[in-house]
Amino acid sequence: MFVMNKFLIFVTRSPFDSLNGLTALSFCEAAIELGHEIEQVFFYQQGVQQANVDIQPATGEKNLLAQWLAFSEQTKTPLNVCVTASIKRGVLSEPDATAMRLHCNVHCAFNPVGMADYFSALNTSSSCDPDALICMQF
Amino acid sequence: MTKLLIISTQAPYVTSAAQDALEAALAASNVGVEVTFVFAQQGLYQLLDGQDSTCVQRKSIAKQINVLPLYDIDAVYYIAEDMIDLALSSQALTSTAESIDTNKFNQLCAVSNAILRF
Repeated sequence: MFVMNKFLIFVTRSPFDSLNGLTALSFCEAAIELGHEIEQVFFYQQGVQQANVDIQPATGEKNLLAQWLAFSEQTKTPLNVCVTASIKRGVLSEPDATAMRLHCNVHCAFNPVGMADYFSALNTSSSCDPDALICMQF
Repeated sequence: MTKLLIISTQAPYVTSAAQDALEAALAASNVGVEVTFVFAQQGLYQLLDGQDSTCVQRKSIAKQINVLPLYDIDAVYYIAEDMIDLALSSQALTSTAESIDTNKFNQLCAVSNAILRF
């Protein structure tokens, strides 16, 4: 019998320095193809760079940001980026950029949220719950 | 209540991992998640009582660890085998963290709903 699982995805590395983001995205695409659900993708640590529109891939290389955007648009999966982790790494959402008189470089498809947002989602389920969320860290 | 296990495996200050793990723990505890925090491998260096972070101009990791109980994070452990591998002594480590063996660590992994490793 098929059991549908719901996943929370936690991405921790930047697009150029690591295959972490690409692996996470491939996992998400495969999970959805098999009938599972991705509750949200959360970007933490250097993973916040996945939302950075200023990163320019080398000619001929895949643009991972474009792939995240296509995935999110097709599957309506929320892409949440940790505000605290991103400010420290120069990845600024519109409100932060305005407040600091700097330019915003978080793509508008990404939601700037606090870490509490991710843990609140995790807290809505427990191991006894058949719909329990599975936390996957990349 | 959801049980979250955070495993902190890297030395302090060299990378942001130690700080990122502590911030994640506080955020989780703040929304009612039951957090267990385990120091493993090089992460045990974060527990050294005598550390002074002023020369690297960073917030002291040890001080942040010592206030974890104030944020309802009382389950703070380190793996005894890793302490031996690193030639550290328990007297040199902050008393906030308790020693556990790998069997206990395996049990903690088994009963947790989610695990984050930094």
